[in-house]
Amino acid sequence: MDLDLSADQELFVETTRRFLEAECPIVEVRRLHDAEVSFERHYWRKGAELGWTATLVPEDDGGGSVSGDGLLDLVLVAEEMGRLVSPGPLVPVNVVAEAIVRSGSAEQRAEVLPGLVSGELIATWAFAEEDASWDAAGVKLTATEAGDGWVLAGTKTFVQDAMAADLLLVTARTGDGLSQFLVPADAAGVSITKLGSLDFTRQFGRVDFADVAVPSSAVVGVVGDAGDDVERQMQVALVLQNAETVGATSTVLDFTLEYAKDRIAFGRPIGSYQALKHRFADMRTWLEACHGTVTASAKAVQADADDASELVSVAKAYIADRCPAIIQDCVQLHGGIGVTWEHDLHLYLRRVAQNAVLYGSVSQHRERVAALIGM
Amino acid sequence: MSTTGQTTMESVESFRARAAAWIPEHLPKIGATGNDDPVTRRLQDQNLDSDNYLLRTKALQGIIYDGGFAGVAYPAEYGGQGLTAKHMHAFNAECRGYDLSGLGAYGMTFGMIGPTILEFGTEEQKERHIRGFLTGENIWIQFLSEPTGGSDLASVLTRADRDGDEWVINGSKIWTSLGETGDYGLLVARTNWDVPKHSGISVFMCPVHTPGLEVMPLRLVTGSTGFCQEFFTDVRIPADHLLGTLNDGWTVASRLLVHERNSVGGGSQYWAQPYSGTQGEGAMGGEPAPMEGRGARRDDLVELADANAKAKDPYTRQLVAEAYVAAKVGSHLGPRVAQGMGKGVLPPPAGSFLKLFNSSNQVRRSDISMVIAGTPATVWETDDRSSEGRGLGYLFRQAGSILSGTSEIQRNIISERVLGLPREPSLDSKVPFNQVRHNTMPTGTEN
Repeated sequence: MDLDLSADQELFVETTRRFLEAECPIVEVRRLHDAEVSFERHYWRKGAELGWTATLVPEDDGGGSVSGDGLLDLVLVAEEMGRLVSPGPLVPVNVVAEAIVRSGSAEQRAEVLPGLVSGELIATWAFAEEDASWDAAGVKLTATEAGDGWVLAGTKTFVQDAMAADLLLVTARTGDGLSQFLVPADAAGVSITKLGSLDFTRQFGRVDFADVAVPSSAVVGVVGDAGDDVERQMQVALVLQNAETVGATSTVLDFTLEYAKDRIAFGRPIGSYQALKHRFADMRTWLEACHGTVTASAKAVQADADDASELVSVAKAYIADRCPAIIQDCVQLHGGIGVTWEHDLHLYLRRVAQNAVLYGSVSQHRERVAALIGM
Repeated sequence: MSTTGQTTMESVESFRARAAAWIPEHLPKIGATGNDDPVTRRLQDQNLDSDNYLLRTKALQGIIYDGGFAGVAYPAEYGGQGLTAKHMHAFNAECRGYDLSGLGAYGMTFGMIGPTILEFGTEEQKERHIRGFLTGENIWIQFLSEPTGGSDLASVLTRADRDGDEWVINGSKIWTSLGETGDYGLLVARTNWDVPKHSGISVFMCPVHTPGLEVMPLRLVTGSTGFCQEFFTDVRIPADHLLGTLNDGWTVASRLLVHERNSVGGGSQYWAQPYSGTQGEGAMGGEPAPMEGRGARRDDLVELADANAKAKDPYTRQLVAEAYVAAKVGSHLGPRVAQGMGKGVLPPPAGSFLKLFNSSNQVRRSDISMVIAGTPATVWETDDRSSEGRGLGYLFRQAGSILSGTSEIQRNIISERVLGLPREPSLDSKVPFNQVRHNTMPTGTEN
């Protein structure tokens, strides 16, 4: 978490934390899993009331943020949600809100934003396809002009909350360029297939578009020129995802540290052995670095800085490398209990391992960095 | 500035503008020589050897002092500017394009020893010694490690015995950076052998050029020198050269080490190396030059990959990006730790995060550089200084993880003093030092 928060931001964090602890403790996360429910609608609407869906939306459109730097405020929510492996479409809804605010038509703003902000409407971004390349080159789904509108044909996959979504923001190929469309999830020709998911509560879908006809009013931004919008959406998704991963990993390291102070072996706390202490020192150092790079990248994206692309990929490449490794070592430090269903460790490991590859893996982001630094 | 009794601090931007106006007339541009070089002019005006590296370094600091930019965050009453780290970084940023690489010799002085003198010195000591280095006159070094122990600093065997108004020093110190350059050394010595080891240590401010003190350069694996060993034989220093309280030197030394970790890790408010414009890696070796803003340059490893026609090789790209990412994240960690300590969210020992992180990066970066360089890093054309330097740099790979407190010591500090894990069981901290098992000075250390 950024160490330089305003009083308003601290209150915002505190409100979200208290809400999550009361409404969605780990026992509730486990209940949702058993019931095969991704998230409860009333929970999401209450989160929306706290501001989880409003910070990237201007006040004129019904949004607003406590600090005026909406993404930095949202990072605080993401980190808190990581701490309790909370459910809910935080990344999908906010990425779509960002896209509409940035490039949506006046009609789209009026029709979509109020619902997203209130939590009544769920939207998600349908971007990746079978190759999971998470980049523009991987977009094969086509949009072809037909009469007054467009016809979408192809398959999107790894789409978070596709089953719960009312609206899909679809990134499509139009000739040499990319174009984006807002498509109702119940449009004729759209079929959604539920996928398995390592995360405990999150659900994902594969979405097939069998010649789905949409009107020209469904276009978000400029036809054939959505590359910058896609990059921006990716940046927002990565900043929130990284913050969530770091929040989750912080919690795991904290409770593992307490365990090491309490657990006795050979007559002394296991945390008194140098073989373990040194690993804790390394992990705590890496985690501090993770916090630092989340803050630096979030500020760059907030300011739309020239190095925003580079810094989000730097952060992702580092965090997705270190955090799963930290949690796995925390499993090791717990011993047998660490690989049981009853211990909460695996809920965190599931979330962090999934975040490590969604929106691009370590190697994919290292490749992005290599290209950005002139290779 | 306000003219009333209460002065308001000058804003960073005002200070930056003042620096930007002053620098072009007074500091040496990279590559400047002869009359275009203010350092050469200053030395020639004083009839001093303008080719002498040490004199050039001191002249450069003297110019900065005369210009009113020395010791930006040091108190004004001792010759500093009474401003903040932000002002210091603003000045350094404005120095881009100028060659201030020589100022590295003052890193220990400004970043480690100066803050320690500020904390423990008497008014008289502060007035004399802080100004003494801000003007460029004195470079300070540290007499800490001994041939019989480095990490276990509290086991020092170098002794100081009181004789009238003087202390008499006998023993040996080793791994002293800038041993041949220093004017004063902060010396940790044992003053009471009948009490536990932490309770019988004192810290002295010891002139280097004094009878009985012999400085011998050490040859390193790279073939070069850079560290020294010193032999103290009945070295006599005045009683008022004690820093802090007699026999409470462990408190002083501990603070010195905190300042050292902050400074080495880039989190010191008193010191940051101005951008030097040189292509070499920094003292920690793992940090590429800042990429932000004007004049961003490419990472050394990108250049190396290009030179070896490997820039399109996917494996090489992964390795270069890995090293770049780690260095970049390191550049985010420094400000975070400084901020955390400033706000009291992190305790002072958190400076060890920086030391551990950056030295670990250096190790990995050296390995990656060897992989990309391949055979020429071990077999080179005799005029290929770059390949030779890379190979020798690899031999020296661990140095950053050893000097200024080994990585193992940093991990102890973090786990015990940041994370609150139980301390190591100690066999020596409760018994009088003269009953503690310790190494003995090897015979014939004077060759």
